[in-house]
Amino acid sequence: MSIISLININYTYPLEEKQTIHSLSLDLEKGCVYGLTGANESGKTTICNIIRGFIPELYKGELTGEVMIKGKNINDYNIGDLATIIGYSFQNPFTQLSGVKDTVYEEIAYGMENIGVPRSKMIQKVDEIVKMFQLEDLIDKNPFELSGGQKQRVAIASVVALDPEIIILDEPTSQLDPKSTEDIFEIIQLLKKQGKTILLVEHKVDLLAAYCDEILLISRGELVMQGPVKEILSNPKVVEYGGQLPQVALYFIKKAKANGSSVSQVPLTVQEVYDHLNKDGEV
Amino acid sequence: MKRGIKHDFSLLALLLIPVGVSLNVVGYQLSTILKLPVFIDQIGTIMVSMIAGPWIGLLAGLLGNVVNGMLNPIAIGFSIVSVSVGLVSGYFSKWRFYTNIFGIIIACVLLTIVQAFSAAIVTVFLFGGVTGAGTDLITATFLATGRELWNSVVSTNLISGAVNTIINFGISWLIIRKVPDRFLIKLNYGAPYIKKEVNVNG
Amino acid sequence: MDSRIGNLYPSSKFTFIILIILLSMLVPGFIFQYMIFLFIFLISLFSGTAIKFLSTFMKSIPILILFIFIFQVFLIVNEDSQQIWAFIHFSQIGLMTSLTMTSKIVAISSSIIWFFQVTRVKDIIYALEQSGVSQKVTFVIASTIQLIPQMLNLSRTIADAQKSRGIETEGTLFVRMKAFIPMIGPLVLSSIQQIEERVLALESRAFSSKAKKTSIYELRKQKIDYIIVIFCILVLIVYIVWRIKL
Repeated sequence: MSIISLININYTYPLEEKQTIHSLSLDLEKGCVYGLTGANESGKTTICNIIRGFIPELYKGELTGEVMIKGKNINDYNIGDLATIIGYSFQNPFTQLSGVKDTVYEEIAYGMENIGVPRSKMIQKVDEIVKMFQLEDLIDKNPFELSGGQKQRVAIASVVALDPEIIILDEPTSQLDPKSTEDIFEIIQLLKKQGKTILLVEHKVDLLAAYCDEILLISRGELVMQGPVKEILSNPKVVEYGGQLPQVALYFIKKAKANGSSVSQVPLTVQEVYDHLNKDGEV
Repeated sequence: MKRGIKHDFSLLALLLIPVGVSLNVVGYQLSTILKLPVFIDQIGTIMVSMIAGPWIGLLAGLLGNVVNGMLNPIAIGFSIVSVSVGLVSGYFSKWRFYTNIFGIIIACVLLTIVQAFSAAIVTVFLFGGVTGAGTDLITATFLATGRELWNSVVSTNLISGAVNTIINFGISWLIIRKVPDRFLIKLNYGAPYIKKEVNVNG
Repeated sequence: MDSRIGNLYPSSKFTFIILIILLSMLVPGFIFQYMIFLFIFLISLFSGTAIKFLSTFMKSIPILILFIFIFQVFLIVNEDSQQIWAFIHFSQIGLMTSLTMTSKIVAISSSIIWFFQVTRVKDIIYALEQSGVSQKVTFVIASTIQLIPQMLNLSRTIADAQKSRGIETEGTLFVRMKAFIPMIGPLVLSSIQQIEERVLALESRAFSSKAKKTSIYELRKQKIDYIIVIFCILVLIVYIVWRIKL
């Protein structure tokens, strides 16, 4: 059974004539890391909001089709309790703070307070999260005084503190510097090791290539490609749909085409390039 | 759409309260920086009541005065004024007064009266006709011409109330016209201010 | 705030100022009420907030009191008013009214100022939560307190930016009025966009969960807190009984 299933979803935002999502169906399996990519405005965030139930509850508009979370229709869940099943973190580090807590330590606990976790358990969990996200130096600081990268880490930490099985990260690194981006991806790897199912919206295909199991490509509100990273990110069609391919892949595709060989084996990451060249005896 | 005291407190509407209160504070500060003769300190209350209704408006007004009261307890006494303004303005929005010029004029006149009388009650009964602000000079002038206290205070408040209402409402109205439709539609009282029926191609 | 008084449970301090407010309204005359000011000043000394207390008090209260005296004694015409010059009179009744009124204002406002200076907002919110006040209410209070300083900062940034873009903030009244919109408009629109996103962020932290909330911050009532509350209630009862018997 898939942990998340969307069945024939159509959605139109209120006040708009054009549909944003058209007959979209997809299945996500437990424990996998999915990279959701596609051009700007193609509907990636809309899909995340549908999975989390924010659409239509908070956005209104017209939604048809079925959203199944762990085999149960999303309408059977309470929007507040879904937070413990699906963690959701966003692009903008500045609007993800609760705005009611004056230390990072309490900020991380906020979600658990809302679901009524007993205090002693809460302290235990916060300590665990602080360690996992390496926030030891920040716990006594006011969340508003942190840098963008630190805020983003705290935001994700606060969501993970609720121990959701599924984690949606909507462009978590788009406003961050390279070092902070790396930190976030390290965390993604840790979460994967814990068996979390992760849906990651990201433009940086090089990172998707390195960290994801599968790629979902969205174009104009439709799911146009889905499959293992190797298969999708070496397929030149991705570019036609407005997606991006890793720089190295583009180079090797060109080379493969010139040689007349198959493109399905092109390397996508630096490590793979190294192995590839090694195999050909070029290093 | 369900509206009323049980349905108006959506999270989005709740989050508007701090914004409204802060706007009142910022408005007050800006009026001092720009050396304006009146204090534009109710923009937040009026704006919030227009798009989020009477109860959220009432709370924004109340909280604003309580927060000010931490530094100046006199403000707590005047809570009743902002509470009435928020509540009444919210009802005017509910009854769609703010969608046409006649409605706006009537609403502003009534808001001025509400503001003037509630302020006069507090001023006369709690503070002996005084507010500690510049408008006391106007009251003093009325007193000097031989008018009674109540009469003088109400007159002063009608004058300052009219100026305040027009400015506070005018600015709120201008700002709301710039608020995106997609935001207004999420609020229980935002519908009258949506600019287009249907927005083609987003 | 780290003083002994700062660390008391908020409701103990609240009961105390309620007692003071009630007594200032019940006790006739004005001497008791004016003494309250001195008393609060002494407690402020003990709480380590005396200077802050005086400066806050001086900013708003004395001018109000001065005006009340001017109005009541010299301007308002009472039965016993005697003309001094043109519209200026002197009234004994007005003097008495001023004294009783201003003494109450002084007593009540000084106790409120003291309360907020020795009680952390965080503690007030915790105490409200514990006493069963709705989470929505405490959330709004907490987030207002956090937002105001940020909005003030942001407004300063916007004001500077608009000034450098040539918006005039000096000149005739009309020019200055016109400057208001470009300064406050962007502030509102950016905060509105932010709260749209914050709704999602808060829901992701289970804001709408129906569960009974807990708190990682903890503030315990101590023996002294119970003693203060009982003492305040006793004082009030004794005073009322004494007044009735009189």
